[in-house]
Parts: sequence; C-alpha cells; structure tokens
Amino acid sequence: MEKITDLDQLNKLLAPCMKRGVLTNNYLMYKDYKQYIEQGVLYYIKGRSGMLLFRDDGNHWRLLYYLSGFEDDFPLPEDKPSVMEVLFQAGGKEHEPVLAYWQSKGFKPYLPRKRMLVPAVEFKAASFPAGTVVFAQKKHAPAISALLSASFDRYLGCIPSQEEIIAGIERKEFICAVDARDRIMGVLEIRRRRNLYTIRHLVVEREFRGRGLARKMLAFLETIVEKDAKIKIELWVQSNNPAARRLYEKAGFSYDGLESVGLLYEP
Amino acid sequence: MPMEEKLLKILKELRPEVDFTRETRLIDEDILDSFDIIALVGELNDTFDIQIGPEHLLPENFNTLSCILDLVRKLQAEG
Repeated sequence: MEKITDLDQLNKLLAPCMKRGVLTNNYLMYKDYKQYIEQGVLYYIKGRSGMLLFRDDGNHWRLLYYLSGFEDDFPLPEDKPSVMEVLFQAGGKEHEPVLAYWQSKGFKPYLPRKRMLVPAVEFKAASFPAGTVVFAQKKHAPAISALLSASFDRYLGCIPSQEEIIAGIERKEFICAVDARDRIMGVLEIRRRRNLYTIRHLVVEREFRGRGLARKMLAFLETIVEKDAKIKIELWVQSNNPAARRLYEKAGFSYDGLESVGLLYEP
Repeated sequence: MPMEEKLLKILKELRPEVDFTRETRLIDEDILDSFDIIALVGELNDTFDIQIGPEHLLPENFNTLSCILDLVRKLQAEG
C-alpha cells in the first residue's frame, strides 16, 4: 500500500479509472481529496484491472474501489478492519457481482440501509410540546458523544468526535431531548448543505424509549426547517428497523430507491 | 453530432427530468449530486476522449451546460 502525497499523483492514478463501465463506490469531489491528502490519510493499491483507495479513519480503513474486472487479488491491510459501503438502486443487479467479489475476498455484508426523502414543505411531525426538546449546549457534548458512540456503527456510523460535536452545537446542528435534571434522553443531528437537510443521527437513550421523544425531536426540527419548494430532507434508515421506518413515514418520508450495504473485512 | 447536442443527450439520459438548457445552478442547488457527477465524468471521458480527473471535480465545472462544455473543450484542446 502506497501513500498518495500530492494531487498530481492522484490525478495520474485516478484518471484512467474514471471511465464508463468501471465500477466504483467513490463519490469524492476535489475538496475531499485535497483535505485527505493534506491530512496524509490517503493510500492506494493498484491491480491489473482495478485500484483501491484507502482512507485511514483511525479505527479502520475506509475502502474505495475502482473495478473493471474481478481478477485481482488485492493484498488487504492486516493492521485493522477494512470497511466500505456499496450503493445501488433498489431492484438493480449491477452491484451483485461486486458484492460477490468482495465476499469471496473475506468481506462480510452488514448494515443494510435505505435512503428516505421528504420535500421540506411536506415534512409534518407532531405538535411540539415546549420544554422537552432544545438546541444542545456545549455542556451536553460529552453525553451526546457517549450516546452516539453507543448507538451507531463504529465504522460506518459517521460518529463525530467531541470537538466536531461542539462545533456542530455552535452551528445549531444538534437538537436534544432533556429531562428535568438536564440529562440527555435523545439526540437529533441535522446538517444542511445548500438545499438539502440530512438527518445524520436520531437516537433515544434506551431507558427513555416509548415516550415519543424521537417524534418530538422531529417536531422541533419542523419548526426550524426552511419550508421552500426546492428544499428536501434526507436520511438513511436501517433496512431491518421497521419502527424507525414507520416513524419517518409518519413525518412524510418515503424511500427514494437508493440503498446501501456495508462490507467489513476483519483481519 | 455537434458537441453540445452529444452532451445534452448524455445529460438527458442521466437525469431526464432536468432542463439542462435552463438550469444555471446544477451543483449549487443540488440538482446534480456527487453520484451523478461521477457517472457523468465516466461518460464524458469516453465520449469526448478526454481525461477529467479529480482536480476537475469542482462545482464551477458542472453548474451549467456551458460550464461542462467549456471543460470538455478545454481538455480536448489540451489533448
């Protein structure tokens, strides 16, 4: 595995891969590459009919592939798990040989997810009871961090660091349900990029489930979302979590046909 | 087929519901997302025999039909 140290090297490596028919799970844009190269976290392995990029994500390698065939036997890093995500259209078949290939190399599929969308103008949560749900404050960051770490996948769960949580709190991206003693009962993390809001995390602490807190956090979100015809709200829900799906459907979300599956290789 | 017509055909196949002759903020308004861009780049590289690489994956290169045309022409000229 070789480190990518500059953009010129990256361009030479990737340009031949960016062709019709080459299968990839890499949707990075220029600014992403620039950041990862500056951080010194981007590596590659070249094969005869493909190339792999590896991003060092600390506790795992995030794998991005380009495959024009399935002959290569790439040597995978043995120091920590390699993880990737494969996106596909519901009912599509194109991803099947890719999944079969990676499974033959020791990857195990997990964390199947489906994307749900709702236009902001059609987003309707319940009425919002004041007092229970608020924008998070910096003092809540450790509890939010603990709840997210305990609740989401440690590889593909996009779990923010405490510093990232504090920065998000300052941008009003963290909504939380708190009890009378200011304990965190649930968290909703939202991020806006241009005309798209993404619900990155929504979770209720186990002991507080069944009280409608997730719905209340969505109701709070409804009060702050800009209701414009061009704006949408998206999220990814685990395919095996019907309760979450029903919650989102009640708020107006529906599947848009895009699905994903994680693949995990543990040395 | 003229280059603009070829490009429009590719774009229409990618996203039939979008009027690419009118839109001026394809990226800024999330009409095309990164999935679309990667699929588009593969088609453009093959169709126009150019090499769009990571360095070209910038919003300003894909915001309008004419931006995309300019990029294709520039890369063709660079040969």
